[in-house]
Amino acid sequence: MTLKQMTRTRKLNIGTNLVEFDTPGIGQLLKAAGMEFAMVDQEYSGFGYESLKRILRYLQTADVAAIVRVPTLRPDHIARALDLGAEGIICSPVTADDCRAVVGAMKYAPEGHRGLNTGVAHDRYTDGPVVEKIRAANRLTTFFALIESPEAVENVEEMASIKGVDALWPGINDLAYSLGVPGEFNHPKVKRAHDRVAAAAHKYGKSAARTAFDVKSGVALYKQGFDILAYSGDVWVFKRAMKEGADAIRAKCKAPKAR
Amino acid sequence: MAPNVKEMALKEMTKSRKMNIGTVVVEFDTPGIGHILKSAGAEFVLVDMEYSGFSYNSLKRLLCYLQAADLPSIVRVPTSRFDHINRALDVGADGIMASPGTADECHAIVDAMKYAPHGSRNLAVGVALDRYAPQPVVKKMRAANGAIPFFALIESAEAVENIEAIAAVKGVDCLWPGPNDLAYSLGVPGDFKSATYRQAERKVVAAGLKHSKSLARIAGDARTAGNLYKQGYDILVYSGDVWLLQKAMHTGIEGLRAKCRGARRQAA
Repeated sequence: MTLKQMTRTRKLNIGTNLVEFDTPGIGQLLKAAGMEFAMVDQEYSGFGYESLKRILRYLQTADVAAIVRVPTLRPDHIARALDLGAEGIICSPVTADDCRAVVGAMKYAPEGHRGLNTGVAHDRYTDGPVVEKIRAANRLTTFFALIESPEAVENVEEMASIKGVDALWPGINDLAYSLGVPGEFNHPKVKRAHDRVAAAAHKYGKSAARTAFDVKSGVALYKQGFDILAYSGDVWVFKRAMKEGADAIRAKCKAPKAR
Repeated sequence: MAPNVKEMALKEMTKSRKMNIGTVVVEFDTPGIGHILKSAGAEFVLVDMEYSGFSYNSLKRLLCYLQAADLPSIVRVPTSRFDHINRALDVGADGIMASPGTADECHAIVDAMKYAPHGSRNLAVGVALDRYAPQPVVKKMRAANGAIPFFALIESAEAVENIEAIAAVKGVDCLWPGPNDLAYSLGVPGDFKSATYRQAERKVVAAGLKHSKSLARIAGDARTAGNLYKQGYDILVYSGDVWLLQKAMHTGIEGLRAKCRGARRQAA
């Protein structure tokens, strides 16, 4: 399923965050674990465009759709990620104008002003009529607006109303941080802001997406109307599973052993 | 427009007797290589580890780049050693190419390629070879044993001498004369028109046809390919990544130079 379709179905779609594992098997590993998409983070991970180019191919081996968290709203960041084959872009606009600028960077004319280069990674090096490619790309590329500041929450309804915005994604960590209560996801201020984002998505018929740190919060989010959930991320899932195993073995191996 | 490329598993290609065209990669370990070759119409890719310097790290990446475009891979392993064959298969090679000199060497290669009871390939589970999706082990072993073809590269006088016995080995799916090394081994390096070389290659082709094995070969140009196809070859490797680039660049640059001669208007 394409990301665009995922933002339209209102059925549950599960993926995860990638911040570390730039390794050939990553796409097939995620697929084998049941993931439908991966959000490749360039903001915090240090992934450069060369890593991104490889990772996008690794995800294609398993038909896992890729959302790229571009480091900033800059048009060159957005265009480069798309040109390497990102299907979705996630970044954090604060105003409706920011959203329009992002959509402008994501879409070819007449909807936007994305630079045109064909026969490269984004069209899988194929030949073909340019006009058709432009149309197909404008349909395919999907914009996830990451809402992670009080200013953005203030403007969220207007942002949700913009045609090129396909999904709203509360960034709960940064949101709590920017509201002055870092880490307090259950703080009334945070909950209010978070729920306002979800409500704006529903009101304007947009998908609501979020990272779910564990199963329980994922289920709660689904019940609240979130349909795209990134379950944790590569390093955290790995670390948690390793720790669980190591802790369990240690716990069972405390008794004096036979000599 | 991109040609309408059929998607066929490698094993089927060795059975179909229809023309299957690919190329060889000896240099371009780059993320787009699968899509680029696919959009050019390649149906499979031979990845060379003998001459290229590609390590298993590069191979693992390259196989993913090919999988991204659904292109089956044949890996030319550096030697017929058990570990070379096993490692290539474990990182996801769809087929193995190695150069046996005798039927016994073929048996050893087949042994390294197949799980028990047909061979002694090592059993790894939930890694690249099964795309990290653990399946019932017995089912997986059976599927792998049936799916992975062996391309016997015939490139020595000894192999030609033993070609009947080599072709008769059950696990050999395809005979693949290697013209360069074969001519070299026959004492006529580079002389593919010599009677010695031609006779040797004819012998290989006859053995392939007689034992219903696929016949494969590299073809440097379309005319050669046409002739090979008529002789009974059904798997053709058209040139290779570096030579294609070199040739196309050369043609383009020569064309530009030829048209840019003579006097031209000068700035005032």
